[in-house]
Amino acid sequence: MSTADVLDRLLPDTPVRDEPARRWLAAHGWPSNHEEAWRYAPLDAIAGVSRARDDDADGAADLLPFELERLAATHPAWASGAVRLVLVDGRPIIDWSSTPDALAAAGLVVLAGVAPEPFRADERANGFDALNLLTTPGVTTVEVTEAEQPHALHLVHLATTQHVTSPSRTRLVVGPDVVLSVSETFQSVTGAGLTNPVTSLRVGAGARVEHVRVVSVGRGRAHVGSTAIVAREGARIRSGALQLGPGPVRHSIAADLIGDGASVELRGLSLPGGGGHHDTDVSVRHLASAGTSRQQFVGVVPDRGRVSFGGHVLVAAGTTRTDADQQSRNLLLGPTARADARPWLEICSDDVRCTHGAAVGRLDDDALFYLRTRGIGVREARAMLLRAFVATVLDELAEPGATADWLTIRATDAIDELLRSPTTRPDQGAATR
Amino acid sequence: MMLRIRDLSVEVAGSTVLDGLDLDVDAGEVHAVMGPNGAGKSTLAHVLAGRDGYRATGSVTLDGHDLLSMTPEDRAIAGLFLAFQYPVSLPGVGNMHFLHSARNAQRRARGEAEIDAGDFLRDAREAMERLDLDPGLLGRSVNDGFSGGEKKRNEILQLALLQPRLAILDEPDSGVDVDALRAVAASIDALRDRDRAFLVITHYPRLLDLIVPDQVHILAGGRIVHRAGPELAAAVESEGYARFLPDGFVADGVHDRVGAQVP
Repeated sequence: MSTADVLDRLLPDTPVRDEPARRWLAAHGWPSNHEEAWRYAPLDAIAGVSRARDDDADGAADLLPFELERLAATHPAWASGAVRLVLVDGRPIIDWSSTPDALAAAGLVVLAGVAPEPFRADERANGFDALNLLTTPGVTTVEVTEAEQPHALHLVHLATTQHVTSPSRTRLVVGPDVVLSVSETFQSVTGAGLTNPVTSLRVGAGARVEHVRVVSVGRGRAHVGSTAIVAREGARIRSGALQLGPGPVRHSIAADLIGDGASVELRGLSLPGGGGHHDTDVSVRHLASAGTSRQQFVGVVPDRGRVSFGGHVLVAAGTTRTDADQQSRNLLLGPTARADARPWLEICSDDVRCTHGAAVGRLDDDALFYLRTRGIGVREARAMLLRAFVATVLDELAEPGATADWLTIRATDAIDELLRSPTTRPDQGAATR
Repeated sequence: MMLRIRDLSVEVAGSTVLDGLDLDVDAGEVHAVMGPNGAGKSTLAHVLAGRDGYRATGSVTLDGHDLLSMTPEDRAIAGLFLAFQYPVSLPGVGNMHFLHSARNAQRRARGEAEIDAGDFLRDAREAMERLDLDPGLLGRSVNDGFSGGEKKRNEILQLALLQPRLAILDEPDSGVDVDALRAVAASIDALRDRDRAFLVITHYPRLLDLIVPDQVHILAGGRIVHRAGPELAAAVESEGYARFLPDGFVADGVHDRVGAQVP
């Protein structure tokens, strides 16, 4: 794919602060589907969206307060009074965030506009990360060191700009034995454009982090985001991603277990709208012993939609007692719904327990028939089974609480929309003859 | 006549399972359909309930409505209920939500007012007490992790709450211990009513000591080959099926057309 024209549009005419990233991007461009980690990524759709012009975008800044008001009405950060940080195109907006005093009282040290670390041309390097480095207004770092009480933070990422990326870059530094719950939501105010955030979680020894990531991408917008996790000795991280909407979505997760006894649980639920394609790529590296990793990624795919998953597990030589599991499950709701799964286990040690599985299915005919024999119409029966399927996944995605309730509402709304869409209309009840 | 089946023939994947079956059930009656394994008993239950995958010809009416042209949900609304031999587990679908949805779906379709959750819960608890069912099962997913006996009693609970005109019980004794079977039989007995009929499908004659039928039919080769009063169950118990099958009938070759006349 030729990306030069897209990059010309996406890259601003500002002085380049990361010359290696610029050079790397010029040489490699965007990833292609020939690369293992990008095999299923909706790159053409992402490029198409990034080229598009949004004639309404000039008014985006004016719409922002309304969008925020809408969000405030339902988002748990406002409802529960928990501390929040609102970033617009990667720039923290103090007026809409919790006050500096409230953030400090919550034990969070926030620094904005920090210079990013230099670009690293390693095997995980890619054009979207380079693009983020070149366009971000700076890194927002949140440090949490106090281990006496649990902490909670909501990061609200809003995208407004047209033709350039919405490149938030967030770094969470979690000290030893800290307990932190953090949610991230990504929403856009205008239709067109590319949201390409990068979040990193550095989790200290013995710390416990619960991370929830909600991405909602409307038609005409694209999301290419990444989450990088580094887990030190005995750290426990649970990260759940909910992806909604018809826009193309790519989420890369890279988790390194660098201390003994670390544990990383990664989960995701994708509910693309009709014609949408959500792609998740996970790379877990067991670089220390006695580590545990779990991957559970689920898609509910309407007709013409697609959900893909690639999961890489590396168990490094010299490590022992690794326990890794990877599961992908997809529910197809129509004849042209599509799901792909690509497990990739790279095991360089003998002392491991590594399992993986992939399943693709449809709504169970026996279950549908059972409900219908009780007088429940076929549409309602399908809705009940879909909601039930999603509920069992959501139960695992987040700890019970305001955030979990909110996820359920968002997912249920998405399911309702999906059921209303003409492309997922179920077959009318077939009689026996 | 409440249920009237005439010349019902059913093919599954090209082979004939039911072959010209006639059966009448009147309001207030309990009929038992017995027969050796493979006789087509469960097929009869599923065809009446509207399962996909069968090619059915002939006529079946319930209170004069043409059953075969209706969807499964419309049959339920017309008053048909099937208690499954193997009730389906529905992980994530709450039992209470399921029962309440079913009751209200039927009420809506009949133009009746919906019943609110509080009233419904009270009805459900009462019915569960009669069935000796743990009220905790209301808070669980439908049939998910239920024991064999709990699943069967959950079917009878649905029967009690939906109050159908015709209840088909497909092998209500399978996978159930004696105590659970007595509870099931007692509940069914309590639901006997002059406006309601039962069609009990079983291959186990002793069940009919507990649920005493008005009439017993023997199904073999895809049709009713013998019918008599409740004493027929005892005769099958002591003598087996062979005596009631037409000459030349091969018990496990049930798909041959035997041409026997019903006495």
